[in-house]
Amino acid sequence: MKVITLTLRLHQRFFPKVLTVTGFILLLFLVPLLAIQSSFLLQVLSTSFLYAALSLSWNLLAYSGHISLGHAAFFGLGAYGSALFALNFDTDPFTSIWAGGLAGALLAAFSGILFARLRGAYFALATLALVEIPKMIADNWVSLTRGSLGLLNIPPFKLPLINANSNLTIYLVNLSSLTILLLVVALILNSRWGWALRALRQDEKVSMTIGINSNFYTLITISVSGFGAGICGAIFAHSIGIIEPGMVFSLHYSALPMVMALFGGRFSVIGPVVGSLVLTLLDQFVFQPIFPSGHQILYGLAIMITILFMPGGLMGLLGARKHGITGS
Amino acid sequence: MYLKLLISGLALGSFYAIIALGFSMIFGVTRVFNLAHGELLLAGGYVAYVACERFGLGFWPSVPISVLALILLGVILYRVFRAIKEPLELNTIVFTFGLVIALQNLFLIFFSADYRILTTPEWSTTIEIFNVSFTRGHLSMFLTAFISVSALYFVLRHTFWGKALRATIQDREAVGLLGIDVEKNSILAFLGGIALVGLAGPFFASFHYIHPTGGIEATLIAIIVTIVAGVGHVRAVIWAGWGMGLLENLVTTTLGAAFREGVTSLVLIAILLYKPCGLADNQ
Repeated sequence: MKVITLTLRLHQRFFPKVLTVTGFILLLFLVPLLAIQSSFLLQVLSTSFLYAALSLSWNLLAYSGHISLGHAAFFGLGAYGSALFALNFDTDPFTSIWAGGLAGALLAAFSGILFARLRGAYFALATLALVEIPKMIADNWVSLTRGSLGLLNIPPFKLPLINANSNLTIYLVNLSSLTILLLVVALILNSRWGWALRALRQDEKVSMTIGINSNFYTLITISVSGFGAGICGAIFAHSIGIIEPGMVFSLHYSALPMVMALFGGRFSVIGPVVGSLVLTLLDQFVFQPIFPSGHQILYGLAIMITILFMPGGLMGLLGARKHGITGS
Repeated sequence: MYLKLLISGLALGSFYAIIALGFSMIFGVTRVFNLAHGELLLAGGYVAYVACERFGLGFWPSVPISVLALILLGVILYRVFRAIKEPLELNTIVFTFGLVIALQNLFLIFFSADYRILTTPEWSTTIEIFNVSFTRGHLSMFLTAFISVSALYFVLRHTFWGKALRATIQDREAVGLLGIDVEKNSILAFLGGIALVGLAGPFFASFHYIHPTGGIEATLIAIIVTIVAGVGHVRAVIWAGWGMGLLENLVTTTLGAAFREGVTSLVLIAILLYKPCGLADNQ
């Protein structure tokens, strides 16, 4: 009986939210029909979906209290892994992105084991330094990666009935992957796994005394996070068609997921998605026209404002989760 | 050949020691993990660049201008850093990461992405001392580092204020109980650290080409040197700085410049794995 009432209460609490999010996503799938002429809007939205997926991956790790400044490492390795797989084995992009995700997950698992003893600022610092290592390899292993010349002619996504590599294809691919990732992250965060992560974030020692295996949960979480980032990198590689080390292993892709997740609200499941939509639209439609060269100043300002004035991000302001627990 | 490498390595190392001392002082008294250290250094470099190239001042007059500009910036930054909440180290590292992005883009807006350098033609002329030839640039670097570091060493070791400051780094609360004005000490040390960065800025701009995203490596090196030496240990900072300068030179000559950033990152990771508590060990 108790179980049933609990399920019912959970259902009442989450059902309206789930309904809203599902409705919103369905609406987004319809956007191309309405705004098919405005290809710029489609491009901007596709970009924001990719960033949202990347931020969701980043935030999954952040739920355990580990702030990463190096997701560009997983993103870039995903891009290179998928592009090289597709070019060398002549496969379809929909196959090779899994190879990219796997590459990101392997590097993430490796760094999770290597940095197991690091916490807080020192974990962040180690991940910041981590990005340089795959970059150095991609830059110097010329026979495989062509070094700083980069990889060209990466095969584009092809969907039935739609022209190859059109904005619409990329839009649908990005939106679908965002939807799947959102579902996966929401399931993880509403399971025992997710609550273990929250417990670890709030007090690692206490969590361990009640039987939460800190190393195990951190390791699987960072691996899934790296997998997500790798998939995002892979999708990026196939939609752009050209990658080079400085482009994918850049500070940009380490900063973006953090900015968007923090700004949207890192203590909520859909916070990173909200942050990505708001910031990308603001960037492309307001800051880009005003400061054509330094428009990314927006992202720097967003981090600083979030840290100073709204630790819960936009979702925190909306009162989506008023726990009074900000964690670390 | 090797002697030349040794000299330029030590000159580079002296430069690293200055910026690491700045990082160490800022971190020591405010617990601010300043990831934007390299960008502040770049800001100093750009100020000196404007003073030299636009207003026709020479290298040396541009140094105090860069120091002053950074102290002004420091007054604002100090107030902002004070408003950041606990957990301080993690929040400041994220906040200053935002500052990195903001400053990089400000540089882009004002100076574009071009590579710029302070032209100091007279610096490549050499001077012979005891049959060893130094370039004027290296010599000025040595002298500046020597003077500023020994002045700092003297102040920290032999004046009341310096002792109070070192005590503040070790235990803020106990020092407050002893009747020392912690807040005043903190702001003076913070501005002192920023002033060191302002001093190093013009040298940075005359040894390297500077560009908006060129600050992060200097930050990593400052952090490496500070972790190796420990916060507030002036002499150890010099040794660690020289070690880093020689290592960088060795890597550049044997493996090539393409490996330099990678090796710096590897060194940082290795040090963090060896000392997982980083700076906290050295209190």
